[in-house]
Amino acid sequence: MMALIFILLLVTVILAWRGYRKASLYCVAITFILAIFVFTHHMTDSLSIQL
Amino acid sequence: MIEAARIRILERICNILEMLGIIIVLLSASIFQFVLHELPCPLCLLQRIGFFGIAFGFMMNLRYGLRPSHYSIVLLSAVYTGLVALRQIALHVVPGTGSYGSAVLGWHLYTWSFVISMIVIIVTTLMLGVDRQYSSAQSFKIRYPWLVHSLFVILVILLGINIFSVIMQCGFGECPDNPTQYLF
Repeated sequence: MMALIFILLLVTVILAWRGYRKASLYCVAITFILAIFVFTHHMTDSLSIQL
Repeated sequence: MIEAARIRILERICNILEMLGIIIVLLSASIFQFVLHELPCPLCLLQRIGFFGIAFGFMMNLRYGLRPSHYSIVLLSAVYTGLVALRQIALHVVPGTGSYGSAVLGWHLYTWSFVISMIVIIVTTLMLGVDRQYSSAQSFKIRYPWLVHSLFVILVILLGINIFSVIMQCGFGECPDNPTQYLF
């Protein structure tokens, strides 16, 4: 899932660079939704604590 | 009173400077990962995603002109980064829970991440509030195209590096909570 978000971000940046403004805005919106989903998942995970 | 054109130039310079600052943050995260061999945790990766979102918002301003919608991308990304960083600070604020990664100038990277995202929110809110920058958005022309294009290229390279490292670390599945080694 994390890799997918980064790939989506790359697609977003390339779309913006090539001049597809609206498409890049839709892409960044999807990325945000996925990023929030992954964050909520890791919030309730066993924690990343190193003792 | 300052002319609208001069305000737009000032705003563009601020956008470029903030963009450079975010690139330095992302670059230093990669240096920590590949030079100091500190693997990023899932929350660290999510903070990187937030920083990429901030950089993307500034890039949109430089590419398509200064618009409130672009600043809103920056603000949403900065709030997201701040939330994730705050969550990680909360994990380690409990006595006896240790910390993740090494400290820079006495603060860990997630604390820096929170502070930087708060600075981005404050500075961007101030920049967003200057009305006169939006006056001639329809007649926009990219200023300093070589600079804007090189910033885009740097962002794409950084994203490529992160995609490579995330696939090496997590594959296409879920990232381990406490990563100790690469999968591949």
